[in-house]
Amino acid sequence: MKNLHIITLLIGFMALSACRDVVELDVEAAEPELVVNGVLSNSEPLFVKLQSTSAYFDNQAFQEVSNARVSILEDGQEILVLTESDSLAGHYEANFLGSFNKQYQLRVEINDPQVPEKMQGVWLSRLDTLRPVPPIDSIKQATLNRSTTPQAFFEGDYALMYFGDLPGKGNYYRIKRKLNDSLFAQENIIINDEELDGIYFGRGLFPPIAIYGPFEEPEAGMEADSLSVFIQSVSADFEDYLNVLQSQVQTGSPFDAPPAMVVGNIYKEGAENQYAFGYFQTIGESANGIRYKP
Amino acid sequence: MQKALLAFLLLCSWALKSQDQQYTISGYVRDAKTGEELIGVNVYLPQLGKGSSTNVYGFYSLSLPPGRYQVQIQYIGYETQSREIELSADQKINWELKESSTTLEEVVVSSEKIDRNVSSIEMSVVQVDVKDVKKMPALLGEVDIIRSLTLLPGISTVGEASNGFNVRGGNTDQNLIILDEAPVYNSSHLFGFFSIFNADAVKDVKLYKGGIPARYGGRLSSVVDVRQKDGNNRAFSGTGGIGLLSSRLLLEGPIQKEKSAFMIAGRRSYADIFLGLSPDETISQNTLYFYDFNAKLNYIFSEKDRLYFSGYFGRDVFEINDLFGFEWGNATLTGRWNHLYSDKLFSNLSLIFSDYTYALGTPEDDEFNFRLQSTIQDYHLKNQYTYYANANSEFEFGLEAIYYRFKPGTITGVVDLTLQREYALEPSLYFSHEYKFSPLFSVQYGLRYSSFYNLGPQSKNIYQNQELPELDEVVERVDYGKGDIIKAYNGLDGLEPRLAINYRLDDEKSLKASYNRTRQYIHLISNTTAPTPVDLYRPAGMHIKPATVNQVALGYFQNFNDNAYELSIESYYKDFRNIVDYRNGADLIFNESIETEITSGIGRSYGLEFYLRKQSGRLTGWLSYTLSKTELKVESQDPSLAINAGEWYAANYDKRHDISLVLNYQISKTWDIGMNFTYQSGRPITPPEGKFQFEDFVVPIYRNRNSYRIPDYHRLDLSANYIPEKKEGKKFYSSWSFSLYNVYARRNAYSIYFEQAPNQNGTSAQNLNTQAQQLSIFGTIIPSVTWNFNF
Repeated sequence: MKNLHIITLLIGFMALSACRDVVELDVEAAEPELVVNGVLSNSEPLFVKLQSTSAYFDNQAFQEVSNARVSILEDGQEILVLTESDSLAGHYEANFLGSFNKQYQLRVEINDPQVPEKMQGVWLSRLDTLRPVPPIDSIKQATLNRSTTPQAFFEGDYALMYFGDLPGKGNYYRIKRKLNDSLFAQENIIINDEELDGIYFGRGLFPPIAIYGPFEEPEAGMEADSLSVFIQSVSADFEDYLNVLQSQVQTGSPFDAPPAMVVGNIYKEGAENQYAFGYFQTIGESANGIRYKP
Repeated sequence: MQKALLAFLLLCSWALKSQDQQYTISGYVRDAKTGEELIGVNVYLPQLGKGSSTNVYGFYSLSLPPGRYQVQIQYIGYETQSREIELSADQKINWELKESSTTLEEVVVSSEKIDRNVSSIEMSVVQVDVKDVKKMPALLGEVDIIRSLTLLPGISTVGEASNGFNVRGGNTDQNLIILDEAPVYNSSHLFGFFSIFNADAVKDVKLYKGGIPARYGGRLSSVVDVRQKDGNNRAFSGTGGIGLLSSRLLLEGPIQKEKSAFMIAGRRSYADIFLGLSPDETISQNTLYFYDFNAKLNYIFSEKDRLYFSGYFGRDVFEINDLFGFEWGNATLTGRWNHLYSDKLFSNLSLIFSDYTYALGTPEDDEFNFRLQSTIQDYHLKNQYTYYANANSEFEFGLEAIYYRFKPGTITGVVDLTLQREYALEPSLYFSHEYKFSPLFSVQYGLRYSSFYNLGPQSKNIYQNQELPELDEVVERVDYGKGDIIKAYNGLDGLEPRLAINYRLDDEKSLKASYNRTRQYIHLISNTTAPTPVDLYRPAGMHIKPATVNQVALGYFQNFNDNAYELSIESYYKDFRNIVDYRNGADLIFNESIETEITSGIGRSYGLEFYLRKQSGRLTGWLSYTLSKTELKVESQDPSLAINAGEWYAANYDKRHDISLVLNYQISKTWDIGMNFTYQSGRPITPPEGKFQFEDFVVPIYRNRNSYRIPDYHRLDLSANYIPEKKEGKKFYSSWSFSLYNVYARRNAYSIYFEQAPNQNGTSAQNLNTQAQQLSIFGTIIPSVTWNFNF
């Protein structure tokens, strides 16, 4: 029941009566720390982004970290070194696709004297496996309403996703969506197979998942919306990470979760209690899409 | 231990010896008009400088040597009665007091000698007069007993929308709130805006902040003992009111005149009607209301036996369009039998049932309906005795057993899921003795022994490290059968000594000191800033330990001008152990393995309370000031689970300064005006010391817990009451109450939260700007008017 957001309903009530004002606080900023984000998947080229943290009320762009040595280890062996992009400082990339069931680890080495000392040294990501991911067999269009489908709050045309969980418990899937090539902002949908191991959504007792809707009618002369859906196989640790992160960015009510440090999977070599922020994701991904037919 | 036992035996023999050749006067003190027993009435013998007071059932007993005595009966708001008695045998004397009817020019002579705050052994106690509360400014016209308590020293809330209150640095779950002895688990309606207590149905409210008597246990920080009216056993009558937010009606009367009576009361709010007027469909289709019922029945079998039945039922209902519903509320039932074994031995046997339930889900006729329900129920047996040995000595003893049933979560409908139920038993015994060595020096000492058994049936995980359970470190699962003891807390830690001392410097001044150790076996599982209605209690067991507190308090009490003014200055120190706290990102909702989300720590709280009250004259009211500090510390074997790196940090409800000024002025016979002003330090929050980017999220970095304060809180409320003179011979009469809440429309900060600023398109994608937003619950002046009636 992790996704049962009872609190959001309470927030809704508070919104009826509460007032909000933007205020300025005089808060001391801490020394910058390393942030490592990246994705290694079976379907998109590998990338890693190195940045530093900044003061909370400093609304300049995050500082990139250049001249680092960024490499990937596969099953314990270094297999490639990423190169820093010429156009995007701090962005390291390689034309590499991961393989299912292999274990990967990221290694970042920073020796640049211009970078704060706290960020220097060798940083590793925790070993993670590129987990197999089920294909999205199809996405179909259907007209739904509340009496037929619980997710269809409003009557209209919906996109239905047909896919099946891979057998074996402990599968976690992150769902991402794009509408007309634009990723849905700050989306964080993760489902797991704790009670639904091996289930096929779209067959028998289990209906397909209404993944988006209702579609809007296109304006005259314009093309109808196109929806792309991605299923990513992620680890239980990553699900925990996103849950803590969500609790820290979803704020604004008397029922907010207490403040917590959002710690990812990057740590300093030889000092596991010293961590960097961000997360290096090792994911299997499958995708499918549909263009709306009004 | 041996010396203590010897001292105890000596005291007993001393007390018993002084009973030689004594006779007892005993009886009940009642309201002359309604027949209601009056609680805490002074029964005083001026020539001896001794006395007693009526217990919660209006009973008193005084044993004295034979002789002629003047007996005075004194009670605030009532005319003092005095009678000379010739004590040559045991006597039963019942008293009937008339309410004092003063004109504005008269000083209230009848009750000016009441000096309970100086003479009583009790300290750190607050007695609320419901009549005073009704005159105060009221939010949306609702008389709120709990809100009025927060205007007294040592009692505060996290903010306006908070479910519960904090007493001397204790968390909201550390208050034992009882209604006719039945525990109430959520004392608020509408997310903390109003209390569940219907002021019309309440006879007496007493709050113990410290010096908690041995007859109470189970919570660390306070006891709020609320007693309902018994019902008018002389004549049928009613009272009610129609206000902006809710309406109420109470009916009471005799079933058999002066033998038995009933009382029933109900309230219903209608905020949802106002929501329905909104042109915005997302608001107008919503439902939000509460209702509650109070009922009581009592029967006097004889002078020795009396039976009471009382109950409460309340619900809050919140529905969003017809899509989702949410309800919660308490239900209580109490049956009590008072029995007089003799003129000196009074007993009360209570059987109590209490239930708190919340439920949420979709409509039943929905094809894919579901309903999630959580409940805590308890069943009590309580047998309490008071032995009035003599005018100097009073013993109390008894036993109590509570059987708990926790149903943390059941889902029905399209999906059927049930979290394991939990069961527990909490038996306890207590003893206390109040002894007046002299008119100047009295002591009350006592001991409560409590124990707790977490029972089956249940399946429990055994973890690699039982002190630090992790979900992926389960080594085995053990099944316990029905009634099997999973974990027992029945050692010496269950001893809860209590001590109170009163040393009178003179008629108008006294020094008091108290110590109490209390134990709490059930914890409210809530990791939000303010508790929500969906938070539930869980019992101590294999992984959650009972919490304890030791509290010492010292106080100076003085009255002025024939008790027209009351002054108290108290200081306290509290030391908490095994306070429940939560790991980062703890997921508490519908979680079977809640022990993996919990950690525990210690706390300390200390403060100074100042209270000056004027009780008589046209102008009455009080000034209260509290200076306090509350800190917590959570260390862990795993450093990542320590909070604030294992260092002390301010509790969420730590407020350094808290000032309240409450005044009421009787302008004329028909008009009075009132004012409340309150000022509090801002409560602590944790500011982000930095931020980082992950995908299109900008994530705050928090380190130093509660190291910043939101702006200070202050608010002014005004009230005016118009009570026309009651016409002779007319049974029906009415009055009006007007209130202005938050007169200068201050936007008091409830919290400050940190977020990504929205960009021009209304989404936050790729917008890395962050900002702080201050959340205020009320930002405007809120007027109200209520029409009250009586017949």
